[in-house]
Amino acid sequence: MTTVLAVAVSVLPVFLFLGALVLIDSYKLVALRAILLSVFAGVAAGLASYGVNVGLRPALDLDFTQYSMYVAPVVEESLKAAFVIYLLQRSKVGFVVDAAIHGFAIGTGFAFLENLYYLQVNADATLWTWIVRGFGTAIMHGGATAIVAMVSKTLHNRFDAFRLYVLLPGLGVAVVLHSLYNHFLLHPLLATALIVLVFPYLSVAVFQHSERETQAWLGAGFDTDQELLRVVHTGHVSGTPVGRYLKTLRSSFSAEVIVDMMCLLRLRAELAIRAKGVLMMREAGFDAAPDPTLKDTFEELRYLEKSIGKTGLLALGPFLHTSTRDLWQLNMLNGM
Amino acid sequence: MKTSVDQRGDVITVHISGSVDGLTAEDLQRVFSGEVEAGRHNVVADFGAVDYTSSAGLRVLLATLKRTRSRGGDLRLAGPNPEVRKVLDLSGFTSILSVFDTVDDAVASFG
Repeated sequence: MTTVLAVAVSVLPVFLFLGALVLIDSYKLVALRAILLSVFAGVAAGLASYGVNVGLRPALDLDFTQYSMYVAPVVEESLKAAFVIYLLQRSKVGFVVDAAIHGFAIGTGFAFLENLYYLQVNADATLWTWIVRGFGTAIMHGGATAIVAMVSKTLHNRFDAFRLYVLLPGLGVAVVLHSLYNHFLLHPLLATALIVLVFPYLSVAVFQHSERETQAWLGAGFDTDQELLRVVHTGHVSGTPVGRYLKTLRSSFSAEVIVDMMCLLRLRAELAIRAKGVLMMREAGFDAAPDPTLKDTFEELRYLEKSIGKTGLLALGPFLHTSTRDLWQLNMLNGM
Repeated sequence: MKTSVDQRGDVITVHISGSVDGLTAEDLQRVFSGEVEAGRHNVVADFGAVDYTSSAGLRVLLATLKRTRSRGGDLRLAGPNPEVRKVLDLSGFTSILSVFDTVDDAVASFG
């Protein structure tokens, strides 16, 4: 069959699925360059997997079938998950939706490279082979890493800092699904049809659930930040929980640091309102215009954090809102 | 929250007083939707007597802005108090929503 058709059938479907995921995200949580970075990370994972698989199979003395059923899924899913670790550690992911998009993008890059490799070594394969590779294997790769990212993000939300073990449940599920796929328990075309039918339905269900959660967080978080700002601007801080707490810190920190702490709380609340405002505008279908003052605001934020110091920031912890989602929204603004 | 509506030419003004929050936002949305569905697409929201608006209220404004613009009209805001104005500025809403000091200025801006 013609090379052009083989390339199209084996490569395009997974990119189209990725595009569909990006389109159904009402909040436009992931910028194009971030998606491309995840795709490249998937390509890198593919290259690394090739190197590991080529060396490991003879070392373990396994035939191709056994290796592909039991070892390759562990190697490949783990290498794909490496970029998920980076995204979570650096607070680049705020919600399950953008975790799913990033995860699928990593799998897309991996599958793209893998299918290009198979196109080279199996040039005479039939159209059905490329349909299975394009609609089945590639989407399995995207879906598996999306699962790793979504489950890890859900568990990560319970902690303020990244813990490696949050990756294990999602990775376990991905490895099992990948291994089952490689067992060929179903006819490959049937497995492909199942993936094509089930994956979009699951994606929409996950996105709808996550968007409800995002809406609730946006509303409650915005109102809380607004209330803090109102208190700061009216000057009636001392009678509030924040004010009373800051009074208790006077014995441990100088007056200048206490003032910087107030400024930091105010600035963080203002940035949080800005970030949530951007998401609300996107939710309603509007593009948020870039804010030219943001760069200076972030510089001021960094100055205040340096002035307050690590001990001061720890002391401010109860009011500083350093959850993964709070840090993500700052990253989102900083990247605009 | 209380609302009243008046019309000058093809511009309707929705006067709002009280707080626009999770409990009252739906009522406000109904008022706006009613006017837009009746063919009145140039809308001024008079916020002169609004003492507080939560995220629910802001969502109503965004939804109404989208609806009026899709029908060739617009939603413009008049007379928000400094606190509400500050929140609109901070959240970036003033980059898409025109805000005027008075109802007369907002109505006149429709030309």
